[in-house]
This record gives sequence, C-alpha cells and structure tokens, in this order.
Amino acid sequence: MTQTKRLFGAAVLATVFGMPALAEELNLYLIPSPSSTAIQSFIPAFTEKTGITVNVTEVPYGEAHQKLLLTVQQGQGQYDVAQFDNTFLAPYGAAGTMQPLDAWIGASAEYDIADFATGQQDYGKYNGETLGLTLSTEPMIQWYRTDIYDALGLKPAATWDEYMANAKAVKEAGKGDGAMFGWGPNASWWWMTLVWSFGGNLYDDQLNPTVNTPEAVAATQFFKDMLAYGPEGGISANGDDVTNKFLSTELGAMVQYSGYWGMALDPANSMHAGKIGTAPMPMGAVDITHLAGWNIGIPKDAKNPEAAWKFLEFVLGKSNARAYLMAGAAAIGRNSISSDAELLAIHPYLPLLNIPASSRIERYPQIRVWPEFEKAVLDALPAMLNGEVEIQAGLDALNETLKPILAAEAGN
Amino acid sequence: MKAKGSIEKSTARLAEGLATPAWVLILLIFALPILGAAWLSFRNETLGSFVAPKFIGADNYAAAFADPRFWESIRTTIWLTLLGLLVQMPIGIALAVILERNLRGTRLFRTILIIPMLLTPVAVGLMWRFMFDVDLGVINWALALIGVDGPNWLGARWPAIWAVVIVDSWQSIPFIMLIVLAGLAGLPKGPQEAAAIDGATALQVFFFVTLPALGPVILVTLMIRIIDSLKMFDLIFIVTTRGGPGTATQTLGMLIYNTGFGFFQTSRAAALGILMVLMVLPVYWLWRRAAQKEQG
Amino acid sequence: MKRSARHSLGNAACYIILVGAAFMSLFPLFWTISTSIKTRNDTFVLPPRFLDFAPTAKNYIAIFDTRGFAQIYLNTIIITVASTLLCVVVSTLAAYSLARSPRFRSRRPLEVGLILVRAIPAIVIMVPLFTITSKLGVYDNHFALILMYAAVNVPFAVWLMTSFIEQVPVTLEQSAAVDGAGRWQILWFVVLPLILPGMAATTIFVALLAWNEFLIPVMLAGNSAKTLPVFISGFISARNLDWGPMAAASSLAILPIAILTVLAQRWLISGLSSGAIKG
Repeated sequence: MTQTKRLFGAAVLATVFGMPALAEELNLYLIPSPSSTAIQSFIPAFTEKTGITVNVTEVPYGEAHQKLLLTVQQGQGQYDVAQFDNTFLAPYGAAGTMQPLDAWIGASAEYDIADFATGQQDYGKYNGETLGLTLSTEPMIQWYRTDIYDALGLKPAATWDEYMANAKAVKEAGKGDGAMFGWGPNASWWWMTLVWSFGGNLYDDQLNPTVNTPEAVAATQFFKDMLAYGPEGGISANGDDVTNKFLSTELGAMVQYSGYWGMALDPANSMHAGKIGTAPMPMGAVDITHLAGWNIGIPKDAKNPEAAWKFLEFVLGKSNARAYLMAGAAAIGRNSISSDAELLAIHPYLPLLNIPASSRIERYPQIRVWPEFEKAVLDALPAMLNGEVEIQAGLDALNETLKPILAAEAGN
Repeated sequence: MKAKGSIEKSTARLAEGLATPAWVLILLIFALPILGAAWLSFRNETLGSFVAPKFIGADNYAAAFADPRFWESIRTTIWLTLLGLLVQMPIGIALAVILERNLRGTRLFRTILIIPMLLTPVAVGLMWRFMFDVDLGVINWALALIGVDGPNWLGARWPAIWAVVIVDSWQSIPFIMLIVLAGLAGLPKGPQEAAAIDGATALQVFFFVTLPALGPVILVTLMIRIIDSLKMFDLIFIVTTRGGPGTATQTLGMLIYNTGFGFFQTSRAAALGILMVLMVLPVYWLWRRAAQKEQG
Repeated sequence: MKRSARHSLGNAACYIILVGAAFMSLFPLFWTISTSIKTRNDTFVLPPRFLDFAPTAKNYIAIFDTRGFAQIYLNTIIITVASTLLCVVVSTLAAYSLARSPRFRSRRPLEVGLILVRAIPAIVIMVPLFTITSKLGVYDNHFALILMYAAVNVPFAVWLMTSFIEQVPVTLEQSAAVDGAGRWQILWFVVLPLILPGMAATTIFVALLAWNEFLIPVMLAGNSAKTLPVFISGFISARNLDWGPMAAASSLAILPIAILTVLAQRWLISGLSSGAIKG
C-alpha cells in the first residue's frame, strides 16, 4: 500500500517538476499613443504563437520616463519592454536603464536592420550601443496647403528664403496666415533645427556651448522674422497648438514632425483633410534632417529579456511592418514598405522617411543635461523674440548660462 | 476651582488620546519620506544615478541661493499669491454672505458655484488654456464682441500671470466660499440680532460683528490658500506649459517640479523643497498667533 | 416701506452677482461637456460653436471601450470613500485636541508634523516614497493608497476642523459639564451637532482632493489601482492630444463627486437655533 502511494506521489512530483516552465510572462511599459495602441493590437497573435502572456502598463507621457528611471533603479525586474521618447535616450543611456540590443539585432534576419536607411540605423544608439529600436520615424517635414498653394501658383519651398517668400505671398494675398513655427513652450524644437540648418551647432566636441555664432544668430533672426507671417497666437504656441492651427485655420504651411499626421487624417478631425501636402523641410546652408520619434527597448533588469526580444521582433520585424502601420501606429521608415500603395494612402509622406545619406541626421542632443539646456534656451528665447533683447546680446548671455550646465555633463 | 487643575490634566490626557490616530497615520506614511527628503538634500543624487551619489553637505542650498532662477521664482510666487488672494478672498466671502441670506434658489446656486472645484485640474488647465488662446479661444472672441482688444494671454509676462491668477481663482473661490459659508452657518445668531436691534445697519453688522466672529475661519482659509499658492504647479504646468513664457509664471513649486522631474536633479529639488517648508513656517506661526489672539 | 425697498434692491444686487458667478462657474464645464460631444473640427474653430454642431457619441464610446475603464472608475470611488472617511474621523479627533487643550504633551510635535506634511512639495516626497513602497512590496496596492491619501489630507482637515471647533464657545461645553454631562456625552451631543456644517464642508474638500489626486497614483500605482486622474492625463501624449476623449473622461469623472457634494450640502446649513447661546 505504502509502496503504491509512494510511487504515485513520486509520479505526481515528476510530472509537476518535469513540466516545462509555467507559461512565460512579459510585462510591457508603454506610453499612451497611437504606437502603443498598435503594439497592443499584436498581443493576441503573439500569445497564440508563443504561449507567452503579455501584460501592459500604460503611464502618462509626463511622468513615464521619470517613473521608469526610478523603477529600474530598484532592480526588481518589473518590466521587460519599455517604450520611450527619443528625447530621453541620453538620460536612459547615462543611467544605464536599458540593455544593449546589438547582439540580437545583428543576429536577426527577421528584424533586418539593413531595411533602414544607413543614417537611421543609429537612431537608438547611445555611445555606440543600440538601446532602443525605432518605434516611429518622425522627421521635421514641410506641410503645406495644396489648395492655397495651387491658387497662388506656389511650390513647396526648397530653401528657407523660399519658405519666407511663400509665407509672404500667402499672407499678402489674404489667404490666411503665411507659415508657422511654434514660438512658444516648445520653441526649442524649431530653433535648434534652424540653428543646425543654418550651419550652426549647439555645442562643440568639447561640450562648449556655441549658440552665439554668426550662424546661430542668423538662424534666430530668421526664426524671429517669421513671426510676422504666423498667427497672433504663434508666440505662445506649443507643438500641439501649431498642428491644431494648421489643421483648423487658414495657414499656408508649417514645419512640423511627421508624427502629427495622425491628427490630419480623419476629415472629422481636420478641416482641410485631402488638401494637405508634404515635402522635405527647406534646406539651409547645411542639409540636415531633424529626426524625432519613439524608441522601444529592454530594461536592464528585465526578467525575461529573451521573450522580450521575441516580442519586439514579432511586432517590429520586417514581415509585420505593414500590418503595424495599418494598425494605426506612427509611421516607421523602412525601405521595404515606403512604396506600398495602401500605406501611401494613409501616410503620403512615407518616402520622406527614408532619409537620404546626403542629409545629416540630427536627433535631440544626446546629452543627459538636455532638459536643463533646453529650459535655459526656452527661458532666453521669449525676450529675443519680442524684441526686448537684441539677438546677439541675448545669445551671448545664453551661451554664458549654458557653460555651467554643459560642464556638468562633461565632468562625468 | 480646585478641580480646575485636574480638569486641565484630564483634558490633556484626553487630547493626547484623541490626537494619537492622526499622529500614527502621518508618522506611518511620512516620517521616513520626509527624513529621506532631508537626507537627499545633502547629497548629489539624480533620478538615474548619473553620478555616484555622495554626501555634499549644504552645497545644494548654497547653489539655490546663488541661482537667480530661485529668487525669480520667489518673486513670481509672491506676485501670484498676492494677486490671487486679492481676487479670491473678497469674492469668496461676498458669495458666502450672499448665499447665507438664503434667498430663493440658494440651493441651486450653491451647487452650481461649487462646480469649478469638482473638475480634474488637468482638464481645467487644458480647457482654460484653450479658452485663452489668442487665435481660437473664446475669451478674446467674447472681448472682441464688446470692442475690447484682448491681450496675448499666454504670450507675455503679465497677461500670463493674470491668466494663472484667473484660473487659480476660478478653482479656489468655491473653496473659500464654502468654508466661510460653513463658518457662517456655525455662528450663533444672537450677537448679530442684538446689534441689529441696537440700530446697526446691515453693513455695520457685517463688518463689526460677523466678520470678527468669522476670524478663525477666515484665517485658516488664508493660510491654506497661501501655502497652496506657494506649492502650486499643476495648474501652471498645463495652462502655461511649465511656467512660460520663459520663466514668467515659474513659481517655486514649478521650479521644484522642473528641477526634480524635468532635470532629474532630485537632490537639488529636495533642497528647494526644504527651503519652501522653511518659508512656510513663519506663515504658519503668524496664523497660530492670530488665531490665539482671536480666542483670547 | 423704505426698508423693504432697500431690501429688494439688496436682493436684486445679490441675484445679479449670483447669476454672474454661476455663469462663470458653469461655462468651462459647459465647454468641457460640449467638447466631449464634438468632433475635432467643431472644437478648434472660431467663432466658437456653442450649440450649432452635430453631436457625436464617438468620444464616450472610445472611453467605455477602453479596457479596464470600469475598474479604474471603481478604484477611484473606493479609494476616495475609504480615505476620506478615515481622514475626516481621525482629523476631527485631533482637531478637538488642538482646539481645546493648549497644553497636551504631543501638541507642539503634532503641529510641526502637520505643517511639514502639508508644506513639503509632493515631488520631493515622491522619490523616497517610491523607493519605500517598492522595497516594502506595496506598490500598486489599494490599501497603501488609501492610507497615503488619508495621511496627505490630514493636515488640511485638521486645520479646517480646528477652526470650526474653535468657533464653538467653550462655555457651552462647560455649562453642559456643570449640568452633569460626561466627557463623551459632551462631545456627542453638544459639540458634534454644532460642527456638523464644518464637517460636511471638510468632507467635501477631502473627498475632492482624494478624487483628483494625481501624483500619488501615477507614481505609486500601476494597473490594478489605477485612478481616473491618471487615466485622464493619459490622453495627453507626445505629438497627440486627444481632446474629445479627454473631455469625455473628465465629464464622466465629475459625476460621483457632484453627487456627493449635493448630498453633503444638507448639513452645510444646519438649523442652528439662535437660542443655543444666551450669553
């Protein structure tokens, strides 16, 4: 009797412990966005294919990155996959929050990094290591009203002078405001793009600030001069305001991230649906493309990095790229899908996302003190824009303010 | 008479007991974090541990005092607080007095006037930001209807400050109104009636009988509003997007948020936070003194 | 004759002010609700479309379709109710101590503690709190949130209730004691009825603060204890602000707290008989 019981017990134990590990679990840390919605739409298919359960936590954009920094510091392996804005790549890199993905990328034919333009393959790289895959490709491009331009015989600008001339023409013809930047709380986005485009730099290789060079002064002057062709509220417009105004009022053109396109699609959401054209950003002395967007990676303390990579490969790999974009995500610049007819109907600017090798790609400055740097710029710009302070003087003062900030970066 | 001493003692013992649950609750939740924040302020920690954290003494405090942004934020905070109080207190008290009269329809008005408090601050901020918009907003449109050229609310320093004062007042006046109303409701009617019988006008009754009797309530409202004004940041965050234009509406609360969550400098933010507490202490002490005078 | 004329003039003035204030209060709410039933095109347009637009239920459908919305709503209600009750009860007791006993032993430390808790900015506390809750394993825990919400609002509630209790003359309690009432009888039958309006007001405010609390749940809660304010701010993302659904969520978020406020109003105007105090 006891023999049988023991054997039975042993059999049960053997079955329990001999079973393959309980179904794996993945924890995703996402930020509410069209990209996040698209990612989540792939979960059922992934779970069916691999048997891995996927849990999602969404944290609002304003706190998401700070919370992840704190969470990974605890080292408890709370999340296996984390979405983040490219603005935070440098802080994440400096803090060691994400783990390098290069080994996986190199070995993955499914992901096929070569499908991205050469410059864009480094989009998620910090100090030579890829800490995040490209989750969206959002360069600053030129948006314009095809109906207004056609009526006035204008063509999308190829240079900044043309951009201003177009704006002038639209305004003087009474067709509305000419063109717009966001001169308000996100002014840094456009200002730094212009500085780069005019041939300047924010800082040099030794991390000395260089915001008062003649090129930067010229760029700032242009930025200020364009105020005359924008709407009155432009001086306080943030990134969202710029898009709202372009989509809802009579405005000839704007330079804006392509990622806002989601707002422009639906006729119920955009007054001028069907009348919006896209073109590359006007060129200055230097051909640059300011690239922004989402990244997604694997936190350093992830419990299940292998499963995490499987998930990323599944959602963002080459074979699912088309489906991913069809699911409503912000577009990704993969060569293989940039001429897909159905996708082009939704994202007509898709070809613009394959940035030519001739254009220097500038992401957000990859320094971890960027938020403080940016705030200093934002604090200094209003006075220069409304004429209280002369531009050269203002930029000289800004340069001085930036020195200790950059010194903190260099010192470590 | 001889029992008085022991009454006081037994009152004190009862008081001790009654206060214990509150003690336990705040100690449990806040003791360690507050000590942690103080400890943080003497180090150089950042949100991502960019630099090896170490003890740096009072360096953060010295840096704060040397930072023009700190002093500017204090100036801005004082302006916003003062303007806010000047707008909110009279209106709040006036509304409370009117409501207390219990005219017909008071119940309905009372409910309506509380509404501003109920909305989530995020939603309130976004709605008002949109309403202040110069091109698409309803405020300047309405002003234009009566021939007034509305200012560029969010684009210049003083209009932005007034915009914040308006939104803050909109959300806080119901609070002041309710507290004063509750205070009025708890007042004995005797003295007021007696004064009226003695021939005082309504206004005289209000200023010389009612208002002084409301003393403790008004004082506590003032103090809470001052402290909240000092700390205020989420409304400013949304309405002017982080204290713009530039640093025009960057209060100390906003600066602390920007330093801690924006620049990842948790230690610097902790030092600023401790400084803010130290600034609040005199306000609190003044309140206690005034409240005690009222009692005696 | 003259008196009633002045009276009605005064009344008229009061009504004008009330209507004006009511309009100011209602308009942004009206704007929020109408945004929630508009398409984007109808929202960002001048002249503003107050009533001439085709309403859409799309935004509300999007909200209700969101996975876990019901749970989020429920979480917020539970946490708010529990923490408010805890806070108001605990605070009223402590307020009585502060108002009536100038010399009890832990008075000074309590006062210091209260001001520290109230004055210190939330983000400064957040980082140590995060570390502590993570290490103790109470991250994303309903009970922990309830305790934290209650604790955060204790100073506010204590100060409010202290001032309301101070308004009640000590003589009342003393005469009741002389009449032979015991300690607890005095508290229950003499003090409590008089501070009921104050307690009602305090309850409304504490509930409101708890309902709209944002920083604590966003940092210290994940999915299972997610609350409405966190959900609402999720509509603000980089390069995307979903006005419609956000306005819809905000409109839905007002309901419970509005109901509570209407209910609690009954106690705001207590039938305080003027005959209670003779002296």
